[in-house]
Amino acid sequence: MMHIREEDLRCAVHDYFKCKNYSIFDEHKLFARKIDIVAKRRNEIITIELKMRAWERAIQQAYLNQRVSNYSYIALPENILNNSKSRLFDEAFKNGIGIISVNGSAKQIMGAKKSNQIQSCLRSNFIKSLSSEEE
Amino acid sequence: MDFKRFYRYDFASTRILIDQVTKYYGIAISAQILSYTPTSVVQLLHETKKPFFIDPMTFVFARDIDNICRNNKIRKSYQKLIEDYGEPFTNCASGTGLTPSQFKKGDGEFDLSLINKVCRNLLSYQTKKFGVAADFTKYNKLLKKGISSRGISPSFLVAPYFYANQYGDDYYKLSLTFAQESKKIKGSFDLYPVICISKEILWNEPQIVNLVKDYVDFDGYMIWIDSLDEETIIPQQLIGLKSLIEKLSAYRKPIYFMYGGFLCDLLSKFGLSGYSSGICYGEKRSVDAVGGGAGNRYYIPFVHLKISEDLANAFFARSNKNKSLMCTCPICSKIHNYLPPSLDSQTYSGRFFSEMDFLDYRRHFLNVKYEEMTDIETMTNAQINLKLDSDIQKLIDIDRFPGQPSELDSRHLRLWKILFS
Repeated sequence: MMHIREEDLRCAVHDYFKCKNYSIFDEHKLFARKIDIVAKRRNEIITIELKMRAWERAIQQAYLNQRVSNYSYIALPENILNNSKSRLFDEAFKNGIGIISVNGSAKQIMGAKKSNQIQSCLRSNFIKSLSSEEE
Repeated sequence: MDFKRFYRYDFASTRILIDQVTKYYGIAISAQILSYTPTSVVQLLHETKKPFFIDPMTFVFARDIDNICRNNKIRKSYQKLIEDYGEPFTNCASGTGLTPSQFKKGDGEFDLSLINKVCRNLLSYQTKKFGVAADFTKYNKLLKKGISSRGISPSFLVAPYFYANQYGDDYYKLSLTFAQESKKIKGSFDLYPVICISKEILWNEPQIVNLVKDYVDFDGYMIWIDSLDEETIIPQQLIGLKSLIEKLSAYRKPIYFMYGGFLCDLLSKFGLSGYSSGICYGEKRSVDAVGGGAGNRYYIPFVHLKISEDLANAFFARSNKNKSLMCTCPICSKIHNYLPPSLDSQTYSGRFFSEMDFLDYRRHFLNVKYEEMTDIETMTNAQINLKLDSDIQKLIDIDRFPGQPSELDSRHLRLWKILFS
């Protein structure tokens, strides 16, 4: 297993969503916090939190992202996922959060449920700010 | 004696200090702000007609000077303050902080004539800075608006002070000497020393007793326990704090905390006369704080703490039970009044927080703090105990969410109850 850095995680996740024709936004703000990656394709928004190891924090942030995104994911190095206890998967599943594993390239190992927490006001402001960044 | 709450002036809060003028007692002005923007301060004091005091901020010059630098240069506001204060503060411009030895003679004793001279300069600054408000152009503009600095004077003077890492150290002795010399020249003004010291003192009852003896015979007191966090305070510190206030209050003089939150409101029942803080920030402060803004924070009344707007939104959105705990202060009610109550908690919370702007978060804070203070004044200790029990129960009953902040835990409320046990 090669040593992986956060930038490697980011690049792999970028490639994964770019191949599916999503536009990618890094470090986009939601309130005072920054979402690691936002992938947008037409009206669909996917948010991804990258973490090298602290998966609990990733789940917490991914949960909050469900207010603006249709699908919310966490992305972790494959070796961290392999060594994790089932609690990570339980927590992600319980909260409808998807999991992406990265080892050189990214692959989805658990799909996210469609968010039932979307706040239309917050989401529409969020989309506006994405659009202004796109311009 | 009514409990007095001072809010610290900063440029962003000017509008709120003016339009919520009935919701607080007075204004605390940091000296570097007065030096940097004297006309704004005069204008604010003229418009609000509130009691105020000036925090001389001398401690920063005896800490790491990098704390008051930006891009390796002393910030302009502090440069102005150094110019106003003169020697020996001008020595700090080279990047070296003041030390007690600079105030000592060759024999190791404090140089009282030097200290007296510095006290004269700094107390004169607190009484006369308003008379030389900014440059003449700006001042003429104020005069045209009918605003004059005449008649503006602080409620009390604050003695120069430094941070003491422990009771009896050189900085402690220096601050005490500054306070005693200031007392000699205070004239008709009341003079308050600032007891600025580390948390260690709270563990040491004999030191508390000695400190109180050292500070006998002043007109009032300001206390600043470095980095004291009301949320994470531990029982021994709480007991020490109560003891310090009770012992000082035997002098029957006002006692204020330089920074504080709801715990200070509770301590009013044990002799605390008031406290200052920023509007929705600055309930605690480290002597080595370097400033910098945080995002919007929302004060949750039954928690008596604030959390980020992000997490407040997530909390109230979690369920209808959580939504039912939303604040009903005049500022929040304005938004509630045009949101259909039948909306689900997600939508309701989303719309509510999208309507809150920078000023609303702060106006809400001011209103809730005012209500809290008014309630506590009229409550007995037993009633406060019951109120804390009821707040704890609300927190036990909330619906939790991933990433819920520690502020929504009831630990701090359980701890504060120790005061009343």
